[in-house]
Amino acid sequence: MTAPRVRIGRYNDLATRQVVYQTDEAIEVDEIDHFQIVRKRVFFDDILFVTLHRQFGAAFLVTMAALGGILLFVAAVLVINHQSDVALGFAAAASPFIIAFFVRVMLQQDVITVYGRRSKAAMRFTFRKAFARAKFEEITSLGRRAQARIAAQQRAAERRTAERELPADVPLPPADPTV
Amino acid sequence: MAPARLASYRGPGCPFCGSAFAIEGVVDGPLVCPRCSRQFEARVLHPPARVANVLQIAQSGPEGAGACANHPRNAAVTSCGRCGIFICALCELPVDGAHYCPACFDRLAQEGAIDSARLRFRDYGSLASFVAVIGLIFSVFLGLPLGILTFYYVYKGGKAREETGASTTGLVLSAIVGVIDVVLGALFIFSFFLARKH
Repeated sequence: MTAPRVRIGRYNDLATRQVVYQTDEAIEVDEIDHFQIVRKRVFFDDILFVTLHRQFGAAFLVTMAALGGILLFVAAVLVINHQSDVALGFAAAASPFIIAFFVRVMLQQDVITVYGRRSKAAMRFTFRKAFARAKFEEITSLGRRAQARIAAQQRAAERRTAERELPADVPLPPADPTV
Repeated sequence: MAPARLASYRGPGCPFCGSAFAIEGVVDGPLVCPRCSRQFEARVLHPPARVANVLQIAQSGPEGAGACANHPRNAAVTSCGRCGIFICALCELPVDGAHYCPACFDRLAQEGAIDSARLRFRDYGSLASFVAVIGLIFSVFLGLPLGILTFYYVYKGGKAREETGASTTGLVLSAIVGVIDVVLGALFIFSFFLARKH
């Protein structure tokens, strides 16, 4: 039975579609690839480095500016040719791209990156800044807690092994003369 | 996980430029990338090195212990839950409450018999929405079969929702479009026969 998962973020760009989940023991990244989900995990006891940074997302800004710009350019040409009604339609079509461009410029995007021993997970947050900060701290604290637990278990196991060291009065097997 | 992706991962680095750097000596707080000079906030963790406490036969005392099937010098700590061979702490793979030897784990993981070791799933949610939209576009000819196929994928997606995380809203929308596909397809077939009759 798999552990319950909580969806905590996404990481989408032109080439990648990823959904990030949190479980009791790991951050799970589901990469959607042609109707197939490929899953990778960054276990809390494997985390080496966690970062939080803010970025504009150059590809997003360029795409939005290009699409909005093209539609606005067509609208401007139509206005010059006295076709204001059609131009209004093009301007309306351009507005979502322009709004998205300015929203991104104003808010930017918070990105959490979790580096493990073998894999990494990243998630982006445009609007939920406080959530991103809280999740950054939570992942760090969960990682530290899991690693402290593993270290304690290892210390206990080492103690048990040391207690079972060979007693001095038990004779060792004779040395192999062929070696 | 695709092996190529595993190979491309180079460890901790700058989240902006991706250049890898050593994290020894790095402390928590704001950090500037030595390569791109951009600032980010970092937390450094120190996972303990993996140590297997392997008990050797010679250490196990006069009463002795069973030897591991793969490492005859090591004392067995348990037996494999599938094939039953004795395995030492090095070979023991505790998965989903059972203990397996490496060979059985590989085999079960390949067969998809271990839930937590499965890394590939069919995305029925996306399949359902794709088939539903194609069925809508070609509803005149393919509405009926693609609508039925949409229901099948919605059903499978609903069953696998816990493991794939498919959204309920997406599945419901796909089902609604599937109904429209079926209705349009059935209407076309009905009108076709009606036209032939007259």
